[in-house]
Formats: sequence, C-alpha cells, structure tokens
Amino acid sequence: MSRFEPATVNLEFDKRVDDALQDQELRANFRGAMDFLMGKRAAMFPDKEDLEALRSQGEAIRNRCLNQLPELLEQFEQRCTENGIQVHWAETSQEANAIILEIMHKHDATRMVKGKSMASEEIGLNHFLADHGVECLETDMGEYIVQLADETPSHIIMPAIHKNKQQIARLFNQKIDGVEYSEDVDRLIGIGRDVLRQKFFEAEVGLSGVNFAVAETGTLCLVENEGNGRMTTTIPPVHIALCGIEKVVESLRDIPPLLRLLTRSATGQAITTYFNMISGPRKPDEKDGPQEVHVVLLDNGRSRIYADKQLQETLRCIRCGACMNHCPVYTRIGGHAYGTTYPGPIGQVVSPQIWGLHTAGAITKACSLNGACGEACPVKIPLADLIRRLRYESNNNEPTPVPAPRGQGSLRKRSEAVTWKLWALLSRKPGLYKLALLLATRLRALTPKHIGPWTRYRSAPKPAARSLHELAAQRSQSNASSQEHGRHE
Amino acid sequence: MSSREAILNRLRTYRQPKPSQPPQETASTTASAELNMAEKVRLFTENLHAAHAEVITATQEDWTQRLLSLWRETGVHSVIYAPNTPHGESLKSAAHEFPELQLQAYENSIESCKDALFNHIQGGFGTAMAGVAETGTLMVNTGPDEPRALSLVPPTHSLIIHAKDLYADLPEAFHQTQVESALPTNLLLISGPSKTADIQQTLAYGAHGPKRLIVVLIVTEESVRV
Repeated sequence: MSRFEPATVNLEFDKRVDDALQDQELRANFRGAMDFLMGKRAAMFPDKEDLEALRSQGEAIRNRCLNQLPELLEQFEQRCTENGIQVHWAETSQEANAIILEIMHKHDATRMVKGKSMASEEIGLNHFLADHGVECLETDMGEYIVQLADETPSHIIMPAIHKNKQQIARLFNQKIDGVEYSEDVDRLIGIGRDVLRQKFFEAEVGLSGVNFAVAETGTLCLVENEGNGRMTTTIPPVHIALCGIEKVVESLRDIPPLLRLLTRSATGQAITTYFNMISGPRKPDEKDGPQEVHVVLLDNGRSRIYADKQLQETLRCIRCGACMNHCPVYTRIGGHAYGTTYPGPIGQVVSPQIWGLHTAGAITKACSLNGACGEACPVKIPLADLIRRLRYESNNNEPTPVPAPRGQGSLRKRSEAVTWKLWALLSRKPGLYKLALLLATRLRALTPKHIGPWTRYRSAPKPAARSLHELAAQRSQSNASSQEHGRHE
Repeated sequence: MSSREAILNRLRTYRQPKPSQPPQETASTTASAELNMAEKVRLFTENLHAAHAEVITATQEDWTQRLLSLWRETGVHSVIYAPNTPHGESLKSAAHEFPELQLQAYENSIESCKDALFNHIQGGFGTAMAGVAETGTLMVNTGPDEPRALSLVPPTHSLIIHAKDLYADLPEAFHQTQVESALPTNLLLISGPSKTADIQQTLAYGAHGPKRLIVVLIVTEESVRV
C-alpha cells in the first residue's frame, strides 16, 4: 500500500480488516502502543472535574471560532498579507497540489523537505510532486520510516506506530546505504538525523502543516518534539504551510487552552519540546529564516461539512489522535485497515465526508458505538453520534435542506430498505404484528437454515414455539383460574 | 468565481446562528497562578530536569565562568552566539580565559555560515525573554539579535534567563509580556532538547534539533528566598 487510493476504500475494506486481524505482530504492536498512550494521557488528567472543565472550554473556543469562520479567514488573510506571508486558497486537493507545484517551479526547486502534515497526505502531495520530478522527503522520524517502507501513516500522531524496532532495524539496514542492522533506538534515530540533516541543508523549499492559525495576528502555530518542523520552516529559503480552513482561531488568547488539551490528549505531555509560532518571512535585518512564506488554505470538502449543523462538529477536531488511542476497534485492526488518510473514529467521520460515502462510507461499519472516542475527545466531538449519522446518510435517499454528504444513499440496498419498511409497518399495526407473530411461531419449521453471512459463523435463529405474548397470556390465565379455584375451596 | 469567493460564500450561506447565550469559556486550569518567585524557580527547574535539560542556577557575577567551564568539561569547543546583546558581550569578554573555545558571532546571514553551522559548530548561545514554570518552557523572541538557527542547528543549545522573567503558566506569560502586540517573525517556546518516541514509543533525544539544552538561570538573593 504505497499510496492512498480513495477508490479502494469501500471495495477492499473487509479484506483489509481480515488481513489485519490475522497479523499477530501488527496486533501486538498496536495493543502495546495504545495502552502506552492511554496511560500517558490518563496521568496528565488526574482530576476528572478539571478535565471536564477544560474539555468544555476547548469545545466552546472551537465553536466560537467556527461560528465566525468566514470573517476569521478574511482577517487571517489580511494580517498574513500585512506580515508578508502570501495566502492562497484551494477548493480541492488538485488545486492545492497545483499551487504548491507552481511555487516550486517559480523557484526552479526540485528538493522539498516536509514537516508532518496530515493535510498533505490528504491531498496526495508526495506522489503528485514525485510525478512532476520533485523530490519530496518526509522528515518527521515516523513519517520518514513510513516513506522509506513505501507505506502510509497508520496513526495521525505516530505514523510508524504499526512497526516495532526490529522491523525498523531491518528497514534501515535494507534501504539506507551502509547501515548495519541495529535495534538500538538511539542509534536508529542518529542515522535518521544524519541522513535528514543533509536534506535540510540542501532543500530549496520546506512544507509544513499548521496546528493553529491565529487570525488576529496572522500567525502559524506548529506543535512538535523533534525539531524537524522548525528545520523545515527555518532553513530552506521558501516555506509553504498547508492549512485546513477550519484551523483558524480568533486570537492568541485561544492558544494556551487548546495547546494544553492537544499535547496532553495526544501524547500525555504537558507541552511539546517546540511550539513554533511563525508570523512572517525573514525581515531585512534578520540573519535567518525563509525569504518567502506561503500559506495554502485548503477546503477540500470542509465548507460542505460546515453546512450541516450536526456534522459541523467534525470541524472542531484539533487532530490529537486520542479517539483512535481509545478505540477498541482501531486497537485491533490498526490504522491501515481503514484504507484512508485519517483512520480511527475521527477518520470514520472525516474520510467519508471528504471522499464521499460512495467511496469511503463503508468504514463507518467498524464501530461498536461504545462511545470511548467521544469521552476522550478534548473538544467533545460526539464521534459515535456522527458515525451513526453517516451510516444513516449512507442509506438515506430523502433530500436534505443543506448539501448532504457526497454519496448520500449510495450504500442503500433495496432488500434492506424493504425489510426495514416492513418492520416499521408491522410495529405500527398491532393486528398485523400479531398475525406475523402467529405465522413465525406456527411455521417455525420453515425458517431457513442459511441466512447469508450471519450463518457463516453462527447457527440460524429459530423462533420459539410460542411468542412471549402468548406465554404471558397463558400464565396470567392459569394464575387467575388457580386463584379462582382456591377461593372456592 | 475564484476559489476564495466560492469557499467564503459557502461558509457564509450555511453558517449556523450564533447561540443566544455563548457558553462559559473559563476553566480553572492551573493552581500555579499564585506562585511566589522561589516556587516558580523550583517548579521551572524541576520541569526542565524532567525534560532532560541541564540547569545552571547562577548569579549575574558567576554565570559566564560556570557556563564556560561546563562547555569545556563536556567538550563544547566551538560556539556561535548573538552579538549586540548584553549577555553575548559578557560571554565574549569572559571567554578570554578559555583559549580553547572558538566563539563565533552570528553577524552575517545564514547563507554565509550555513556550512559551519551544520557541520562544525558545536553550540549555540542565546537569550530567553521569559520562562513558564508550569511546563519548564523558555520563550525565545527571535529577531536580528536572536537568530532562529542558534537554538536549532548546533547540537548543544545554551540560553540564559533571569528568574524575574519567570511566569506561572503560559496564559500569564503571554499576558504579562504583551507578546501579541509585537510578535516577532518567529516566537518560539522551547521545553527541552529535541526528542522523539517514534520508534516503538522509546524516547530518544537529539532527533533533529539540539541533543542538549543548557539553561542558565540567573537568580538574585530575593528570588531564592522562600
């Protein structure tokens, strides 16, 4: 699975899940990692009441900002422009890719280093640039490992979480010239550091994502531990930031609480090593920093998500990954099984809305609606409710007042629809219901032995000889007659 | 219609009505707001140690000697620093007693010293404008006198901070320093040496940035008295 292919998501989902469940090494890697991350997060929030207050605050801040999103985007654009940052707008992934390529061409650039950016994975930037002769190198250690293995990230925060150190040791040994097999993590990181330093040194353009964009000051905020984000945005002469339009917050005062929630929920850190706030390119009297800074504001379906009151809650997400860390399904099948850029609960909500239910709606099946994700979410996104809503929309063919998720009704099956209609009818008409029960119990011998996939692993259900109604009626009758009998004695 | 207009139009058309009563946004997030100076110093130091940083608690008189000695002992023999700052000047004049140290001023643009910066220089020295006790964080205001790469490229990053510039938490630090009114091109919050846990959740230091972070904390009589 070298690149993200939206067209395969629904088609290959069942097979991917099957394969993942059979892979014991993969399952052990995820189990270990998820337990570790859940423990780290829990240690950061010892007080349940404080946590609830903080989550409510995070939710309220994100809601306030989303509510004034168009104005904040305009203000952000204006402040950036005043600061010397060039702002571009992209409605689709194709448009975003084209804008980035054009900037590369303008500088005759063929070497790009990348800080971690899930939005760039979403638009398939690496392969697009490679097809146009641009070397595009991931520099986050996890992303670098994943790129070296010709894979995609399996987690939005820890991209190489599906691999253990033995697998990474083998990978480095096979793919990097002159590297001996070593399971020593310090040594492996040292190798990555040496290779990538040279790349930072040579690169003409650095591309990063954005964690928060501050409208009031025109500031791009990046959260990281490794320093590759700073390298990417400091050393190359040109910096391009790719920013989803929902990332904008109103003012600098919104940053501390959101940052607090983000790092604690993601990796259980009180703060990350670096919080990098960029408000412009190098000034004439400054000695370093990029000469040009560009920000590409990416829509790619977000403004459509914005249209629906319930689904809009999706856009509060600050991409911490806590929902996947707490998801029992994700823990067992891992990130690749989803087949989309964004895996886990938030992925099940975001992906079908970006690529359409007809393309990625099937992944909403991988949910037991247990709600652990929503409880862990630092901005209180009701993920299970949204997953249920998308399941509904996959089967719904009624028109909606606002633009519906793309591919609405595409997973609807006629037989299923008829069955449920019939069920609804029976439940509303007592006479019909009784008749159906009578038929089901009296003709139970005729129940089919094989019912599709249900009976592949289970025995077929068989109605009882008498319905509960009948049994209850019988019992109350016999009770009544025995009481009658007793009185006469 | 341009993409910009198309996006903004859609957002305007489908915006949800504002809630009549916006929810409360205040959260009692820290108990650290009332800390005195000595407590801030203690918490700041503890958190930096926990993040694998080294802290030299020194006075205005002895910090240069102590930092230069630590560099000598740990093999940091070439350091780039920002001139035109009071601390840079002090460091430079004290360095005469350390002849093995090559102290280079970051005077020209990175293009002229990129090779040395990446391949030869072992340390960078700069100043933090403020510190946050709750997380052991240093606020670095980059600019002409505090180049960005100082704190990023050399394997050992040293920086100096005064105890009087410590704040209890980040909101207080942002508020008191009034950063939002004059943000530099690159405001940095640094809370330890560069690190990663991307290989099997095993923590390793020196991922892409400095492997060592040395914090010189200048205290006065008053700042350590409990």
